[in-house]
Amino acid sequence: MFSKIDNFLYCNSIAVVGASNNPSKWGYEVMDFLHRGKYNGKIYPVNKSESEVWGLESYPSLLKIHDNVDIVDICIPAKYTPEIVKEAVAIKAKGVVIFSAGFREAGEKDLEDKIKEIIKGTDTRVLGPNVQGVICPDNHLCNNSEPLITLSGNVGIISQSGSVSATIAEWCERDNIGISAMINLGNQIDICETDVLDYFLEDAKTDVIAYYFEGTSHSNDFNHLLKNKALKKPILIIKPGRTNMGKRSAISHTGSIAGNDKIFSDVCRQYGLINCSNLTHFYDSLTIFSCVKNIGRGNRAIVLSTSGGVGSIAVDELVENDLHPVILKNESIEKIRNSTNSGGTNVGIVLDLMVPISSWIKPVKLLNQEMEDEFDIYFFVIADSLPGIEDLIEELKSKTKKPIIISYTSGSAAERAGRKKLQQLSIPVYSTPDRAARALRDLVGFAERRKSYVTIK
Amino acid sequence: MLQSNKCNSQFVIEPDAIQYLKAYGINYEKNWFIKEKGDLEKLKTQFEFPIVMKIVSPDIVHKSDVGGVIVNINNINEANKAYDKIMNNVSQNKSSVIICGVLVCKQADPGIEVIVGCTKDDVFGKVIMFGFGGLYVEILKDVVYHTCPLSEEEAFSMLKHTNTYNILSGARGQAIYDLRSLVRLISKISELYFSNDDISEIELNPIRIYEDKIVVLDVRIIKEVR
Repeated sequence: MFSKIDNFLYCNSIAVVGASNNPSKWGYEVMDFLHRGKYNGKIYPVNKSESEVWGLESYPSLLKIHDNVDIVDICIPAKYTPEIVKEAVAIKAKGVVIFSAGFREAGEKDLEDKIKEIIKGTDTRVLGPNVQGVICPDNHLCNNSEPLITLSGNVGIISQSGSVSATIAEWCERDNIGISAMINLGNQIDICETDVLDYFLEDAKTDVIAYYFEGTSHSNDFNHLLKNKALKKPILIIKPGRTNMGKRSAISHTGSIAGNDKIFSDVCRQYGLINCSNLTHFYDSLTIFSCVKNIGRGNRAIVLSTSGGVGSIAVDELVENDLHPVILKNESIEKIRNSTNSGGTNVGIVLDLMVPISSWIKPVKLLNQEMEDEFDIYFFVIADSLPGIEDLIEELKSKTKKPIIISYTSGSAAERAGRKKLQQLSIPVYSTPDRAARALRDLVGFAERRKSYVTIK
Repeated sequence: MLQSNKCNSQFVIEPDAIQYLKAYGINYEKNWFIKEKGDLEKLKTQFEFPIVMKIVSPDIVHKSDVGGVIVNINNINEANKAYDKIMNNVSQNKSSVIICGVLVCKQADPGIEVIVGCTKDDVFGKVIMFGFGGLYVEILKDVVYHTCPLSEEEAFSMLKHTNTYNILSGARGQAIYDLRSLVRLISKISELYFSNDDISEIELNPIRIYEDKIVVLDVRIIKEVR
């Protein structure tokens, strides 16, 4: 079913009201990003005082465009927006994106009420106002100002802050993680967080939802959605205000015993949301959920390392994150020991395979071919330059269905090149074992919770 | 919707709060609402001593703080004295309060005390809390919050996030407490709170839990300020 959100993402034509050749105007930026994103739908600039914008014929008014217009972008001062929305309704636009600021956040709630009244009962939906826009790489659509994102993938980003989502999306693009869409919410006079969250939960392209969350004004709808669907997909949530105890009523213990954050984290756990403590956690978790397609296979991790030291640190991190570092059966240990000529190889809770990569090939093959029933996850702890690891992982990935997680702590040129290559292979790579283990905990924990969800359904 | 017929205020007096509980099938300890001292004599044959007496006033939320609660009352003579003492304590501690009377309750046997409360969260709206109750609630902070309403199954999975649950479910060979009634109570309170928009907060503390039953010993309901 083509939903109201799809209309914004998969539109075939956009009219940009306020489109301009003047780089200091918002309407210039929007045109700029539509072009740089290589949008291949129709673009109709609307500007009374310029006859041509970005080499395209400019229209004096929406009403003068005689083709179908799916989406109307509004990039002109707030006070003129109700009039434009009226025209958008008249030409039967499916959606309006109001980039303009100067509404409720500036004390102009009346303007918002006016727009609500205009769209009431019509098929025209409004995103915003005061919104940063939407991105849908699959449709070559960057209908926003910063950032420029072109890589299509499985991460859905929802945000109430343009900068947070821009940062996350740019990290994704840098690390070869594609997004299904990014939607900013703005003042939410019509389309709200519940609509967008529901969209991503239903959207077949989205496997993980990354949500910068400030609050909701529809807590009943929001709770209802979470209760029924939150375990369908991993929802990573980051919320500011953790340290703000808020002004709670002191009449009862119920209100005063805990700060807002205690309630927030308890309710996240109730619904199975992954409550991320900081941006690093948020992004690390996003990475693992985007890369690992087969989740739900237990918490036993086999730790392979170039170093006994970092390997042992990794074991502690795994245990502290409710994961289970595996010790192989005696006969398996014996086989691995005999398979490698490297004198220093230590086979205990950490398979310390040292360097170079040649000492890894046979043990990894054995693990993959004969021992996979002894563990659920490959956890590689690379602590020195290990050229060739990327080829070994590529080979392994083609042969196993188990998640492969890598902590690559080196920092050398070989590490940087290797990391890039591993990211191209959609392998989650982290700079430290603690980050890798925390992300893995989220993955395994979600799989556990989802099992009960699937059983209930 | 239930309406208080007297002492209308933000704080619902306990006899009215008890009616709310009753409407949702939640048992409060056996009680008698005494509007004037003479009622004590009239009702004395009904009392099940020992009893507890508590001040009833829309202006007094923290009854113990003003000497408004007396326990271990064993006969009608002590009850008459306790009545005077409570009135005296309250008038010394607080001037110009409305006094509706005194609530006489059967004194409950010792047991483990838990707390159930409801409040509004900025993000999720109506939430319910469960935890270790009584005097040490603020010290132990062994509580958990969920959104309202909750089914009994959901209430049960909520309980499990507290250490109190480990105690109630028979830690180290100790007795197993009446978790079934507790879960039912949590679910009912979450429903009460969810469907009454005029209530801003509810707190049941303590609720005393035994092996075969639970009994609410104190309830506070705060209405929205309109």
